[in-house]
Amino acid sequence: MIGIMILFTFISITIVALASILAKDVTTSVIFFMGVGLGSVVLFTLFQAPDVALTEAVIGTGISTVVFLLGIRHTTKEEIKS
Amino acid sequence: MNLKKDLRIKHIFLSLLSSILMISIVSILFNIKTDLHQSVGELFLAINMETASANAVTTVVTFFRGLDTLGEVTVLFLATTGISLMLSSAKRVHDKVIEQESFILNIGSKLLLSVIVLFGVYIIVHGHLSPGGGFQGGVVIASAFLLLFLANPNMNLNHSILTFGESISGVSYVLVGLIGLFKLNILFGNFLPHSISQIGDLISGGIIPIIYIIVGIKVGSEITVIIEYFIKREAQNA
Repeated sequence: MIGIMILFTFISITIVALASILAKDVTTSVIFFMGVGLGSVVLFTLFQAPDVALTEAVIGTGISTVVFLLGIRHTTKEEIKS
Repeated sequence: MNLKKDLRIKHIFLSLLSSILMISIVSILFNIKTDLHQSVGELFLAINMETASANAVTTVVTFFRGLDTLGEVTVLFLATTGISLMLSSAKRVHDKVIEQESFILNIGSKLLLSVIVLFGVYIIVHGHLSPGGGFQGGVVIASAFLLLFLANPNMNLNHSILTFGESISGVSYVLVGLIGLFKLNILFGNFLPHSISQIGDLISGGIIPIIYIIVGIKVGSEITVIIEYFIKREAQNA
């Protein structure tokens, strides 16, 4: 049962990662990348590593997405002015 | 024509290679043996009882691998220093551009702030009993301040308190390690009383909860400073 759940999570992470690579907009790509983090949280929980899952949930899904989006905001402003 | 043929062969080869890798990964996943005998993990779990910490991961992070955690904290400190150095010379985002903040957002974020900070403090203080610890709890506290910044962009943080908390926690982290070195000849030695009968209590495990509280204060203030700089400052050449 757990093997099937791990396989399902694995395949969905791969699909979301592909969508993140193939996305045409940078913001969409960042949001899909957050989905990769979400999938790995489930994967870490299934592998009985709750400490790593908590770290990934807070840092990989929360803070890194915000930092990426703020970076996009900074760089696009620059492009419009020049 | 030749080039096209090469490309097609390359594509077939690459897809074959990736499918073989996928099959091997899946077969490894289904054949995991939980055989921990004669491994480092087995040894750690055997010694873990002596330190009277219920969470074995916390013991590994703060006690067996204490020097590595000091290195991690140093890396985070260097990253924060670099970001502050890069962005402190940039001009602030003009306040007049930002519109008047919404009343509901303002009150709601202040209500949520206390709950999120309480949850972060819980994760830090219970690091030696349940999953979590200084790094995770510190980042949870920083995300509470991120919510406050998003709801109310005109807010200003008192930087002297953040700098004081960050530096005092860094100094005391090294001091705790050095006291262990002088008293027990082990860096980050557990010099406080830690009896096995207290395992599972809030105050147990000697210096392990103290180290995690110090790491929590340090990580929380550093991530808050990074987010504050990213939100408040413009890019340098804009």
